[in-house]
Amino acid sequence: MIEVEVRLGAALRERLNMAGDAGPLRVELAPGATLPDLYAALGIEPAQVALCTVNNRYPPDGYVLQPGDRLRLVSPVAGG
Amino acid sequence: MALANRSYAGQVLFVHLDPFEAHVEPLREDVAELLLGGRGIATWLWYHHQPPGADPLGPDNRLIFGSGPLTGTPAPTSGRFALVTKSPVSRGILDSYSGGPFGQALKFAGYDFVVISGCAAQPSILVIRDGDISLEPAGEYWGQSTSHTERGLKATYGAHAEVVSIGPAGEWGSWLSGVVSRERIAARGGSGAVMGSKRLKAVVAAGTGGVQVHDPEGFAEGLRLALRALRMSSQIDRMGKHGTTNILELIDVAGALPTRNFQQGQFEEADKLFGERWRAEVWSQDVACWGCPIHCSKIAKRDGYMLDGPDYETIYSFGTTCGIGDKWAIVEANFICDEVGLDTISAGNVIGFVMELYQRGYVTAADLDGIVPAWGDSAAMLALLGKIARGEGIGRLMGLGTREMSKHYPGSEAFAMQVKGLEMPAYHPNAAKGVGLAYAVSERGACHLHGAPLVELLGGANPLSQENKPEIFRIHQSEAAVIDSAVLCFFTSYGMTLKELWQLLVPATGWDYPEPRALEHLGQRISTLARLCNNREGLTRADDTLPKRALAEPLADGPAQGHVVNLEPMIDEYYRLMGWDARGEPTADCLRGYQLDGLLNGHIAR
Repeated sequence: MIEVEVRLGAALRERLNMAGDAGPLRVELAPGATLPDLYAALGIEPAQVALCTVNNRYPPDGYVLQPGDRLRLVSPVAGG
Repeated sequence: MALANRSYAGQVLFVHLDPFEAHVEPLREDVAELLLGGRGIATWLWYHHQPPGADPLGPDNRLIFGSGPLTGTPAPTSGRFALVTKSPVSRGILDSYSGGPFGQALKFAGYDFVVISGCAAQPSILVIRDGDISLEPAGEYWGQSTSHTERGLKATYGAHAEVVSIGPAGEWGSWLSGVVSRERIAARGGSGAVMGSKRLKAVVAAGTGGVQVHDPEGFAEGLRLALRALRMSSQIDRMGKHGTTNILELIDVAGALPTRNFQQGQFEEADKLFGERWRAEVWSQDVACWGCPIHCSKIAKRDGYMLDGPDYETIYSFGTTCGIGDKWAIVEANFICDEVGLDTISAGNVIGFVMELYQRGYVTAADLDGIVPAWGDSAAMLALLGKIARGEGIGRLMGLGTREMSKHYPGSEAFAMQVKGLEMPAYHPNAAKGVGLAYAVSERGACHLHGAPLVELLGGANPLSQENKPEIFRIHQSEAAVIDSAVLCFFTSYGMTLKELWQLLVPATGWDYPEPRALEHLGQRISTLARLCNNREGLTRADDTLPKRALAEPLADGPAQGHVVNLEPMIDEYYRLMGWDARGEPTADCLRGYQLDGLLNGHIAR
């Protein structure tokens, strides 16, 4: 198994009924896991994610998650 | 009065300030159908009545206030007004908008638009009460804040009167000043300085008329569908809860949050400025503009005072771009801007620019009236803002914006973050390439509302790719032109599509717009007309550019680290999509295609 660190944006936490910001989640996944695997493990629909960064970079298509990766997931929001 | 049952008042009021004269002309029906209202019709009025090359701060510049066909109806966010004039900043056409039902009051008085020319002999207030038009001395109001002025004039002319006014910043001629109504401001591009140059402190409108939609049953159904679309939008729901700054987290994660005058795209104290933190620590109440179900505005209470806002753009301008994470300092800066009538985006941006001038040794505290503008120093930020507000010392130069200021410090133009003189909003162009194109080509200068391709930051496209960005921008620009011509709030677009807008506009006006896509074509027509206005004023492709920091200085951090904007290919494609030539001038075929040739009656600038 590999472990990655995931920080969910406020709107995403709200949609998942996670109260407050308890800090990053640590998620265990099978080696070779990709972003869709992570979303499934978290119970997130891909359409709920507007923006994803891995280690403060946009991941390429088909990116295979690595142990210790730090992810930020943010859902669609409005403002400006 | 053929337009009276099509949701228009059907009349345009023309006022010359000295010698004072007022007369009324009918609104042309073909103009109303082809350009809808608000931005579209006001741009046409400006094109026809403005002498080419007029000094923006002289008597020939027209200052136009107006409304749209949905103004005065229950359409969501219709309590707004539009403003069009020549900008002292860009020296091209300026359109600007604000919440506040001044447009409604003007329409109830019988006028879709008022076109103001001349400069009054003394500080004055224009009063429009149905057919009674007068120019009154501003008296003690000259020099007073916008809230004091508005309260006083409402006490004089009645609660149903609506007021637009300038504050001291507009009076002294700051190019960062705007026109205020109900603590909302038509902020961008220096309209406050235009009004100040006319010695016009305020305009009061009060009327006893109403608005008659063309198809009441169809309009009621359109209204139901529009409200449902807004209600069902989870994005709008969050904006209502956490304000416009609920977007700040996403922009920071994307590395597009301008920090320390755009030297960075991420702010280490961004967490402090997320919407949830504002809700928990500062805001105590939601408020809405007249007729708005979104209620994105917030009230902060402190020491018994109720203070407005701030919104996301203001949190960027007085916060991140100055390296400041102190929420109450941002609240205070926002309050000052409302009271003196300043554009928060430009005012904060110019302060960030001064902080970088200091960082790089272009200026010392001695050049800044003794103020040491260190990054993150909120006291210094507020002190510099006070200088701008009062037009005092260094504030006199800062109050003209970053482009004018950079002329005094050769080399600094590379990091004067403006386009056509207008300071950039809260999205780093290097981290969102479509935003870079939008800033470069928008008629009024660096603008995020004339086609905010924020979709690229919301999962709709790769923000770092330039592929398809001209087409994405073109579509958003068209939608924005329609929304601005209907004079609704841009934020409706987070729930309503052009279809919902079409379902309101067709029964309101009875215009034969066969399908929602017809509105997209209408929006492109309006953008092309605005382009003609700028061409006539001497703006060219050379003005459609970005500062060196965006074009050649790789971003230092975040997901966009190392990125710059490769602008010229996007501009080539955008011009082609719009039917303009390589110089950015609309072709004769393009004008015929948009039916502008007939509308301009041969007055086409070539």
